Amino acid sequence: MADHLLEINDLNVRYRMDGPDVHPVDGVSLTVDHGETFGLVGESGCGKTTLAKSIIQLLDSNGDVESGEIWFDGTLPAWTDERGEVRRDVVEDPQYPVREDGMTNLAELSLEQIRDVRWRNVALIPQSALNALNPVYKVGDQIVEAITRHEPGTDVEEARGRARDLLERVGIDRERADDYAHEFSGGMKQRAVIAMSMACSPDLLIADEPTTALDVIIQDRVLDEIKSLQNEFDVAMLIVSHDISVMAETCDRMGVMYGGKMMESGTTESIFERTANPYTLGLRNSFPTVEEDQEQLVSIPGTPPTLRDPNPGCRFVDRCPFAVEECRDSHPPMYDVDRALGEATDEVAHESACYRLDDLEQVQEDAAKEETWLQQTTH
Amino acid sequence: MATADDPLVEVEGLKKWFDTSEGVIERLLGTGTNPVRAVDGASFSIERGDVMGVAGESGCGKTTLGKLLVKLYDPTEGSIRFHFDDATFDVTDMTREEETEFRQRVQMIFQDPFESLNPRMTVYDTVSEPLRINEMYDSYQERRERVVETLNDVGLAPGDAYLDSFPQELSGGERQRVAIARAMVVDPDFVVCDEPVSMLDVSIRAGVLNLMKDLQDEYGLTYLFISHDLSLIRYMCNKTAIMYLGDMIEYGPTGEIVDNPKHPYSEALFDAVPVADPTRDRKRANVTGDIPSPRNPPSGCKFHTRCAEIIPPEGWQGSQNAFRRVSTFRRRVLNGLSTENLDVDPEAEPDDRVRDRLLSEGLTLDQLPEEYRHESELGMDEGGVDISALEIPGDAMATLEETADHLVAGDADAAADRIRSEFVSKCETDRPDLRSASRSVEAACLLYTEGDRRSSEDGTASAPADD
Ligand SMILES: Nc1ncnc2c1ncn2[C@@H]1O[C@H](COP(=O)(O)OP(=O)(O)OP(=O)(O)O)[C@@H](O)[C@H]1O
Ligand code: SF4
Ligand code: SF4
Ligand SMILES: [Mg+2]
Repeated sequence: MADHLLEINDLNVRYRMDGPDVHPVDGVSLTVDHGETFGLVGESGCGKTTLAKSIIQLLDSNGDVESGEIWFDGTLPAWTDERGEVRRDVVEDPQYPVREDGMTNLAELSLEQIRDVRWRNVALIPQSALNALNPVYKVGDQIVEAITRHEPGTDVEEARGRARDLLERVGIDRERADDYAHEFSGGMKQRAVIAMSMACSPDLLIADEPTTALDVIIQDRVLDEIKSLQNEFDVAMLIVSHDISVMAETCDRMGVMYGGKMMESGTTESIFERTANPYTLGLRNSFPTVEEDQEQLVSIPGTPPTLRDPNPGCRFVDRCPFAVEECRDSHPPMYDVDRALGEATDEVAHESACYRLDDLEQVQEDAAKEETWLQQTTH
Repeated sequence: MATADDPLVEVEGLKKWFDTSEGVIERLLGTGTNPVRAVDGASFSIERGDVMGVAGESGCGKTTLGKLLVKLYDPTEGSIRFHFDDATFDVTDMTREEETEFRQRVQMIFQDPFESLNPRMTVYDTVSEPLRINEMYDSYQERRERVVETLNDVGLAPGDAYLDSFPQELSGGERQRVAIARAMVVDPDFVVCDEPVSMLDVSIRAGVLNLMKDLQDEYGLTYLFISHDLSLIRYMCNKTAIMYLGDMIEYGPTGEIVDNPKHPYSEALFDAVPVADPTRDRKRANVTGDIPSPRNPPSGCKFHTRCAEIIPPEGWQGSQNAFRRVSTFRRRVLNGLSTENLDVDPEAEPDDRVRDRLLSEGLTLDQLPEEYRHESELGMDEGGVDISALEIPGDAMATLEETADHLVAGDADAAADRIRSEFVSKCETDRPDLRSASRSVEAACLLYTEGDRRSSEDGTASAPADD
């Protein structure tokens, strides 16, 4: 087994436009370990969905991976295709871009090859998953179809049984497999989509805003479900959300994106305990909590940057009260937070893209004060 | 004439039933004759200067309530009275002149700044329109000054610079500020804000919320603040009302309701909110099933089909949890539970095994987070619960078994008849009105009788009110 299940290096994605191209993912790196849950958080339009979709080549037709690698440790088992022929383990195929440690670069797979990977190795629950089910088909049949399409040769009866097991597993009565999707409530649809995505036992499940459209009680149940699936199947997850509380509760590690850049990443605990990036600090300031009375929420002045012709400096520089001269020249690389704090460990557990890590404690202290953020002019 | 002691808004028995939205199929089948009870008999008042939050899940009637208050809807029943400092308005009975004046004094801000602004109107046109409609200010010059002043107030400064902009040239936050300016420009007394920041990015939300707070002081406003986001309610509102299926089920000071919700539904709602602390293990919402249709809400307390604390009838010998399950089984039988849906084959198996399976599945609480499930309910295979572990009292068990026997014999009517008048909770028959649940909080729940404290049945109920 390789070190990581997924290892994304310096990924750049662009959307071709009539005018200048859009760069929604701009030099992003991240890793997801086997069985781990990684959360990708950030505001609308920062590139989360684009990053998620690019992993299995599901970008819109005007989008493509410009550069970068998406290494994946998924050894596909041999399986029989429609004609009953045994298909090779892809990793043995010399045409596949495979690294010494056995990882495959998903970015270089052909369309046909990546189709093998989808569902069976990496399943994606899209952002608008509530619409992913066809309302006039029986829910069970839709899961059966997903199974037989991606594992040709599977006996239909067996697939039926599996579909029912999966529904039951996510808390839906087996017999409701015969209901039509329009007979399901929002929460049940979301569970059914989760069940469907697990149909071929993927190694990695990508869930894009899995609970955003749901009411809070239903969200609570779906999160509970996701958690117990993790425990039971040891599936790794990449969860995309704009809600930092959801991240705090579900993810082992997380990454904070802003304007196409990864600003901070690391273990969830470390990111919450010693937030090390001005943008993350600002984001946390502007989130109300239900738990305590807050005197004043502090908003980040200004608006998110354009992804068309972003200026060369730190992506956050126009809104950052801590910006120094250097921030205008180039976007900061990721620095090891523990090392900056003089607590270097062997493994990098927490990184932040910011030039001001040297005086992090001061930055954290000032970020908690409202005046700090008011000094900026709104524009 | 109003006195300073009168609340600003007094609402009595307010109802709004919609019966127009019936589907074609339902009409053909004649099944959809029930109206949607969007607001189903609300009585409350709002004090001057309050920010009253209204929370609840989608479809519970929040927006309808807001629109009734500003007369965008006419009520099906009930009354709404506004006691302004110099005049009282009976909203369901106004002269034309009164209505014109009323529409200047109350305003509403909508959820979606992208939809609520007309894309062909400049900021000036949008914000000045209410001034023209209400015939305020005589000259263009005066109107323009007022518009610029308001734009400055809402943080679009300098206001002059925004006058000729079109909505599509503005960011989401700026658009919502324009929508707020449009409401504020007529200097209203009361403003309904319907999910005013839910379409905005997190980093700019706080700015809009803080602006609304500042404007409240500056303009001496009273707000009704509608949001499904309980954290926002906590931040913005000094009073909070929780709605469920058209009913206001809890009302009181925000801090108290959030820290110690009295109604079991409010409790579940607050338990369900995720917290931004990875080291915390939050308890989850203890609620079964989905929200019933507002066309056909449950009898008695509308929440009784999902409530964790449903009250056992006099003489029940078992635990409250066992009653909750028995009552669930009963409801399933009355709704047509049969052996058909079981995953054992009723033909192939002996009758008593089929019966046990039926009981085991029928007594299961569905869609409950793991921490509230019975040990024997966990795990992937079969489903259902271990009946013997539930400690259901003997006579009750006998009734359940007889009922199940009828079902195994294929006689659904006999089964329903056997169980219909057993295990009837008062939660199913009595409709609770808002009543005092602590010194300052009112809740519509039969656990509270005036002046009484919440009792703890068998340790599963939450702590009694401490004030
Ligand atoms: N097909 C496309 N063509 C051009 N631009 C696109 C396309 N799809 C997305 N974008 C742009 O790319 C940027 C990133 O979009 P993306 O959907 O990845 O963001 P996101 O972080 O998932 O946002 P949200 O939280 O709103 O879902 C945005 O500016 C978006 O407008
Ligand atoms: S690099 Fe500079 S501008 Fe960017 S976040 Fe750090 S201090 Fe702010
Ligand atoms: S009245 Fe009964 S069912 Fe309704 S909330 Fe109170 S305990 Fe629950
Ligand atoms: Mg997205």
